Amino acid sequence: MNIKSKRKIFLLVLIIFTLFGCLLSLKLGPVKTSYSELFRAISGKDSQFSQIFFHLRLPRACLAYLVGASLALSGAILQGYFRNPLADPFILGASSGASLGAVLSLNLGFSISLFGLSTQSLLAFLTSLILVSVVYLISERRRFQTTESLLLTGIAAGALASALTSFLLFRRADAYEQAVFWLLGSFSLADWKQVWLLLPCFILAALVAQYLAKDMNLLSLGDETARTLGCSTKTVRKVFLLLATLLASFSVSVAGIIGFAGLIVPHAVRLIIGPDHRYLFIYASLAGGLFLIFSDLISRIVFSPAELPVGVVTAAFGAPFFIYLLNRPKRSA
Amino acid sequence: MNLLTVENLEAGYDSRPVVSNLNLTLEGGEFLSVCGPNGSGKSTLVKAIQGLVPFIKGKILIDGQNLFQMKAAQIATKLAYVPQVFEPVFDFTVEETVAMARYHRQANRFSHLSDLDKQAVEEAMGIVLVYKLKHKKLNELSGGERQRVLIARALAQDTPILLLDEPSSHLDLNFQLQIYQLLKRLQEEKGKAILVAEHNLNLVIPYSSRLIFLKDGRVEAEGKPASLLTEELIKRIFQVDVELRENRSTRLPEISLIHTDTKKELQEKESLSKR
Repeated sequence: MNIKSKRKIFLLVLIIFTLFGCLLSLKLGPVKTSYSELFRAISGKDSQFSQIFFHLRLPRACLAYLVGASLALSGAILQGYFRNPLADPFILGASSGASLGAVLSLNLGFSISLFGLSTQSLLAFLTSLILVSVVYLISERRRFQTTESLLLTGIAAGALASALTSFLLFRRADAYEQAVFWLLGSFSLADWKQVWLLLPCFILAALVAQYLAKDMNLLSLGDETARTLGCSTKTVRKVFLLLATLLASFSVSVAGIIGFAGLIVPHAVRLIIGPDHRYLFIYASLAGGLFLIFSDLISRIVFSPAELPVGVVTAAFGAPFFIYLLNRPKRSA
Repeated sequence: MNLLTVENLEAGYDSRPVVSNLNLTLEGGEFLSVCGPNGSGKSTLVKAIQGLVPFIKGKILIDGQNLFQMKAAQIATKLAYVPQVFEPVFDFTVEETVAMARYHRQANRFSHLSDLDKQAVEEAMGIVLVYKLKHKKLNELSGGERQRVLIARALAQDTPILLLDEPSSHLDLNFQLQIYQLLKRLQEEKGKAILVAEHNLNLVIPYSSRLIFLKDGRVEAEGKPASLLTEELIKRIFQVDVELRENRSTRLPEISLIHTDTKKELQEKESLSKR
């Protein structure tokens, strides 16, 4: 099968499964509902369940989809940026920074709200952004900033932020339960405000990424080669880093740290449709959304009415699938 | 007219230059080989010409334009580069790789390859005989095949100047010959100006219009192969004793290494004949 047919079939599969996932997300939950009640609510004939469908389950499904798409796009960008399929949205410390911010807000004990974001979300977003910016500035101080120096500085700064987070948790053991939300991710607090906040950010980032997708193809060959093929590497790199960081930080601020999605989704999509970023960015976003809709669904129904953190599900189901993809027999060329 | 002019070039990776006080020119349709021992600055020179090293001083004119005032996309219309090492991380196919040479020529960032682009890509793959491999992934190719793909990409870029950094490294004798015969064809049939950094002297002699020898980052000697090469020059540059012979097929000089034992024998013969 040629690559064009593969892409078409894969797109169809993604759309069908996403619609199916959305339908299941609306139907399943602690309050048992039937499809007929769901359709009656959609058609406006039944207001009894419309509150549950449209104000609890639908925003939750939309937010899961957007966060999944954002994390996968951020991962796809950073994997190309670092020329490393093991890169993920949190590689530069975005997640450690966010955890620090969230735990710090629990320690500080004050409460503010902005654009529908809680204190935790706001601080998580800010510290995540600040940490990645500091990482970038430190590595830029070297005469020749290399992706390796950026990567290693990110890992070191992430470790430092994690240590501070652990210290704060150690001081406030009672905050541990709340902190788990950030450490393992959840959509239990999803609402429309968060969706409307993330949606324009994602659309803008996706458009810019798509505009520069050819440059990412060139960057993934290495900076020297990219320059000789006409890419203004310094500018393009800065834009991509900003996009990936904003996507990761926004995602973390509304849903906590959901590991693995930003790593495996772009990688798996690349194995299916190839590494051309003009397609990879779009398909990874679609697949990331799908992946988190189903992960959230599973997190809600496995121990219903209790909920599993969604990060546990992404790792538990994503890892075996990823191992299968990596080890599936290759067809001879 | 000079397509490339380099004047008083100083270039390197930090404030200590690898090449210094270097001047060279490259005319349209010329085949210039830059030779010299390891560390003499060949690769640095090739990279500096494209603005790829962090420390550059001096003047570089590409087709009359100042390199330092050109954008990457402008440089890409004048110079195409075949690097010495290329390790692909992602599984792009041969065709996708060659097509990337046309990105900077496309009307806008969302447009796909035009008919002209497709034609250039197919022609480039045809010239270097990789057309049949076009759906193969780069990681599935041998070193020689991959080198040819990189040359195809440089050809598809459709520039008047081709720069190559040690194109024969990692290749067996057959592929070395194939690559240089191909470059000669491109020079003669397409009128490309070619600048090659190469350590294998015997390989470049038959194909070069001109040779430049670098030593410690400076031009040590320059000229046509037939008149330039002497045993003393090679000894001075490479610190090795050689014997120059005439190649039977090209009638051009060919370098033969004198191994230590052979050298002793020759000296003994000489002293005997003097007696």
